[in-house]
Amino acid sequence: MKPWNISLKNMTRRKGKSLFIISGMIIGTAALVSVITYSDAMKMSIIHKMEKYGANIIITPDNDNLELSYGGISVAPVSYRADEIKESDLKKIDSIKNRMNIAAVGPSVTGIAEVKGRKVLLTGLDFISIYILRPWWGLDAANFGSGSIIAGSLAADTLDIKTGDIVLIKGKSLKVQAVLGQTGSQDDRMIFTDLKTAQSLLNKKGLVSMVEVAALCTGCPVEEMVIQLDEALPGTSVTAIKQVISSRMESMKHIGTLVLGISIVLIVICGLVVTSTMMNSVRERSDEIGIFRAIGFRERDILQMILFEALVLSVIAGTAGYVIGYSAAWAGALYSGGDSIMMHFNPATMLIAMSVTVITGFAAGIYPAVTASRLDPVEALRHI
Amino acid sequence: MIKIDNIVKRYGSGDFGVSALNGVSLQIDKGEFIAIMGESGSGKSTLLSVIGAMNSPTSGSVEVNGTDIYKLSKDERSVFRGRELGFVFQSFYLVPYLTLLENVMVPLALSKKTKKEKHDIALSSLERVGLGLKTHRLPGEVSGGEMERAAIARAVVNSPSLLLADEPTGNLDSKTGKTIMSMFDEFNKSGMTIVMVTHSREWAGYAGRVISVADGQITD
Repeated sequence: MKPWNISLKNMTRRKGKSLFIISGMIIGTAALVSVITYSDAMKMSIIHKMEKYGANIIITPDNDNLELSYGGISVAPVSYRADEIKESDLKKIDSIKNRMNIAAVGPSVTGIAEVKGRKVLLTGLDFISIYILRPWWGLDAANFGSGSIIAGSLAADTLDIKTGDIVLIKGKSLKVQAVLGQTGSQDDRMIFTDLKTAQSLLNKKGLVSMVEVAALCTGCPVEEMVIQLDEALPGTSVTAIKQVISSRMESMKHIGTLVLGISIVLIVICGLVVTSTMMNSVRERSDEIGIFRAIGFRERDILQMILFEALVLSVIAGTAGYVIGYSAAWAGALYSGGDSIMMHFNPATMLIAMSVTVITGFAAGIYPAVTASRLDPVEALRHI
Repeated sequence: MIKIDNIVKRYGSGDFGVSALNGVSLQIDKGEFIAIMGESGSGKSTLLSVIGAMNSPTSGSVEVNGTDIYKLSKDERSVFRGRELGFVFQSFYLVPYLTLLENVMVPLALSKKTKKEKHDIALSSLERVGLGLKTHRLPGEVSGGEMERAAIARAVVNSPSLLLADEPTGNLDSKTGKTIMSMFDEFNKSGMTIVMVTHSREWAGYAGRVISVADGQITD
């Protein structure tokens, strides 16, 4: 038998008391884990939803400095001159370090076309990426292909065209596949067709005017991606749409601050509860500690025994608290948000929660352990 | 073997201080069986705790087996207690969640003996006090007399040279008390020095010498 055996027997043979001591820690850890897990899931859901707001990086040819307002959002300087990006260069985007963070790449070519005797801005798009880059259009890419056009609402009114009409552009017949609802952006004044058709009509084969990139921001610094893209595509200007990024980052920051605040409060409460319950336990066991001291245990032997108990109980509490907290977060997510809250297992959360509990439990056990080790055997045994 | 020289023990200070021992000097030879008697509050238990290296005197010195125990550090005194002394208390002070065998093994916990050696020594000690068949019982599952015997087994498991007992029969009936005193007598005959505090003249009769304490002084 060693001193730590005595500690283990105390914990295993007085399960009720041990459970009482760790109940505070279990509740604290469970609350901490559920708050972190639930907020993490909420954060993921928010990010997921925010990413539906389209592109957050714009690549344009690098030339003069006329500002272009795009959908009310400031983008890089672009030129009205006919400088374009070679479509073949876009393959280089796949070579950047953070390529896995790219959700969609949407090259587009823009030029002036004549429809029914009126000049109109014609843009060729990669229809496949529309549902990511322009989710607000609410269109299914499968319905669009070569030979079809989409008309902005104002353009359709001005040109007097509607869905199903056939329009002639530079001698090519194109079917109006859809008329967009009002978006409040420049899209309202434009007509769109697929990239290849537009390149052909505008005599810009193999060229693109602009590339929109949707980057998944979670855990990826968009600024770094901008640098990587700039290096991969010389002669272009790569700009992050600051408003989109900053709003995403701001939201994440608020959630992070809230969780941090709650976590600190929980840790402090947890620590105080553990200290208090362990102090009570030490008081209850003063006879026992007194006899240990009387029969030869040194102060440090008592200190080690109590700290060993604190450590073991903290590990048990951390494990139990994590399981309970994670389950509670799942239950909470199911009850409040159904599938819209993206619950996921995060090993980092488990590691942090366990570490915080063990460190807090151990630290909270120091004061009771020191108090116990300094118990005077005569005082503790009273009768002597 | 034990040389107590002019011990003074005061609790508290100034006008509110209380003197528990007032200049006690005493010599106890190796192999003696001493009974300390006195009224409650006379200072006999304080004297026992001072001899037991647990209660630093305000002044004076205590030598046990040639060691001035209060010149040792706290840790050294703890080791000294574990190696040289055995304690028996009126309230047994068995650890409630340990079996009788484990309770007896507690003083061996800090020794470098193997697990089997510790087990065998503790078992032998329990057998010596007649509890060889109840080794795996918890203290709450045996009688008061058996608890006291287990406490005695724990006190002697390290074969101490000095056994200190504070009212060892205080909570026991007369018959069990006699059994305990017979054990003490046996230990003493095997060469162990015993210092016992008691109220009972009957149990003091087992001792070779009786010391009376009153008002913190030896009166007889």
